[in-house]
Amino acid sequence: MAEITLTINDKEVKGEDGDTILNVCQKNDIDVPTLCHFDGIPDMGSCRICIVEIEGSGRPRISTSCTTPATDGMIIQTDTEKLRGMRRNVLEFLLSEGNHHCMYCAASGDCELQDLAYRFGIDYIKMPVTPSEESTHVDSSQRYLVADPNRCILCYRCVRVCNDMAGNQVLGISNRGSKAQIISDMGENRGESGCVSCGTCVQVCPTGAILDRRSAYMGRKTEVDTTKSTCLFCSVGCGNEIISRDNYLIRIEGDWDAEPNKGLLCVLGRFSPLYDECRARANKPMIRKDDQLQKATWNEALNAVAEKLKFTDKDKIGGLVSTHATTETLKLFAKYSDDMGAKNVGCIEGPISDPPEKGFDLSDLNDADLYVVVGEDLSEGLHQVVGFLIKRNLIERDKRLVIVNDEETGLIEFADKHLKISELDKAIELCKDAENPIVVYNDEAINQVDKMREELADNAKFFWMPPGINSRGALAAGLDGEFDPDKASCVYVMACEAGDISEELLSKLKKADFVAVQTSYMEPWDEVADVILPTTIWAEREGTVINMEGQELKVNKAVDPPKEVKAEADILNALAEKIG
Amino acid sequence: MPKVTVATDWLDVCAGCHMSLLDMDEHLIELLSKIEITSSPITDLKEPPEEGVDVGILTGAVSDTHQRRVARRMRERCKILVAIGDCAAMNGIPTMRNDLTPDDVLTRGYVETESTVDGKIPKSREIARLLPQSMPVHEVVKVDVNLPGCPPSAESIYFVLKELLEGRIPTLSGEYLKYD
Repeated sequence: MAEITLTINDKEVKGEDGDTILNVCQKNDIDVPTLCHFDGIPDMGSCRICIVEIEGSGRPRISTSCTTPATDGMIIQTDTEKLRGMRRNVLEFLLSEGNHHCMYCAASGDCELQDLAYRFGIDYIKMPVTPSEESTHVDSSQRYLVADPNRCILCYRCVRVCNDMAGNQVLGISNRGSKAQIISDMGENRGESGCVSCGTCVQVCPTGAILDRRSAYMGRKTEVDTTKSTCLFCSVGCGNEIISRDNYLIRIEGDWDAEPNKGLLCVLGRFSPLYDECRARANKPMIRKDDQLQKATWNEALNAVAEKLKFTDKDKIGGLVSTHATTETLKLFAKYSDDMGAKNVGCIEGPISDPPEKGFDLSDLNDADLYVVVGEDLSEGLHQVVGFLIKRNLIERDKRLVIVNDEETGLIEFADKHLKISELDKAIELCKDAENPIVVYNDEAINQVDKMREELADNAKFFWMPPGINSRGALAAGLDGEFDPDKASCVYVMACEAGDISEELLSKLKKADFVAVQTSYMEPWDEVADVILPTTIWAEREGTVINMEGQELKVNKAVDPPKEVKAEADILNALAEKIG
Repeated sequence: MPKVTVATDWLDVCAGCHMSLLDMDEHLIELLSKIEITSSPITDLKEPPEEGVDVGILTGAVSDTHQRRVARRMRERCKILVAIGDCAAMNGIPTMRNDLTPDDVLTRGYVETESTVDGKIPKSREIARLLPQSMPVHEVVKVDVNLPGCPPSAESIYFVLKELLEGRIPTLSGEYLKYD
């Protein structure tokens, strides 16, 4: 990158070729007010707040600094009387139309438009204050968010993240001038549109035009606690920020600084944990007496489990773990079951294949020219963020997506080809022709991918989508075996939040003599458990997980667990002590 | 030294801004040694004296013919006019009706409300008529100081009055400039 020299506010500053004027200003700590600009998404200059004066022959030219490339020798003023006046006018125009009355807005205090109005000392608005010409309805059809076009300033941030970052291509603009507004698809209500509820738009909205329903009015940024952590709902391992207040969970946001997601989250990581988790929390140790689970003390519950484990033949002991747990806890579980000689131990998701690739880098998706998705869906369920990372690349003309799946998946509308598994050869041919193909697959497609690996050797990258959350952590702990419920009469389950358990496994567990479950929620374990040991949920956990890339990621505690709930490792250690 | 005379009045507004004025607590006593409140909606004397006052304070937007008269009267009778609150400075809550006609507004209020049975829009020459649009005070008469806030804090009202007493037109920023 060639270095360039500019004169900004009569001072010489350096930038790089390819920088915009705003980039150069920010690198040199020159304060230019911005509104539609957002780090990480392409600029478009829609708000006109960041205007600067560029000197040239004749009158100085006024341009938006976020979209004007900086060139060597430019002479720029960023803070003249004229610019301040123009910026003030721009703000007054924005404030005069629609509903920018702060007194009943949930965003008040966290609003970038309000911040600017304060900064420019706006105490009245010169033009008439009117609602939008077309009175626009508040769209509350979406389960997780409310969109109020009257509070929108058309900064296009949501449109840009929806298209360029999350690749979902749902949001757009209809009409022109004062009638312009953000629409979903072709003007459908958000709830009936193709919106996948990734919620990135909520996180970038500078005003109260898009609000998270649950956390509206529950605390401004200065009143809440923010804990950086790792999402524990699939193996992408997105960095998130857990927002809490007085030990109460308010909202989850994507962490802009985190690899691999860079701010993105999907519905499972952003909304579901707080909106959709309605199971009753396990918050007291319980023991089954007269076929009823009854409250007990920790001592009684641990004694009951320890006694059973001590006096059961080790071949009859079974261990079942959830990959919601941290690597440290999984290793501890593996160690204690080894110590006891229990061999019948495995993950709730079933046995984990151990792929030859020990890791990969999701950011390589940006450099690929062909994506082959085998077996995985990526549009719903787990790993949706991987789907976003692929979809947003498909905007480029020479990148293609091929789906190899006997069933329809949500990515098909973005795909060039949809092949049946029997047509795998065609996919292999396509990979051979491509420069930089990436194969994304899951455990269901192991046989197909083995064949591809054989034929393509080093010419393709293979991205394994693990079945669980911390599956690589389980592999590291040696917990890749299969648990056979038929061979176990005394089963110890470390379930954490896991609740999606097959009927078959549950009915088999029911037949076991004794089942102890260490769980965060009662369901579905209250049907089978003889002892319930209440444990933490994602936001109360501390430790590390290994994501699909093979990266070790930190999980941090955002809130304290309820009084009688203990951390996974503490329970295992207490139990080990009792067994001796 | 004679006391500085102050008159207040309200327009299309809740009483919140006047409550904030009272909320100055002990500052009010301090101020009263220097100013005299000649009239206000919360005292016995309601109308600003004909001989005029030094400072006039208006709260609320201008939404009907009566309020327009009150605003004009205050302007005529005061030297410095202060518009206090979001409604007076920026139109505030009354803006909500600005994409409807006055008839729509009255029908909704007097006839269509869920708890109303056989409602009628009251008609009398004594009742002021709604203006087509609700407006902040500065659109009707010249305003010297705008103090937004819903309501502005007692501290910011105190700040504005103190500045005026010192002979300065206040410039609002920081804690004194809030819209909520």
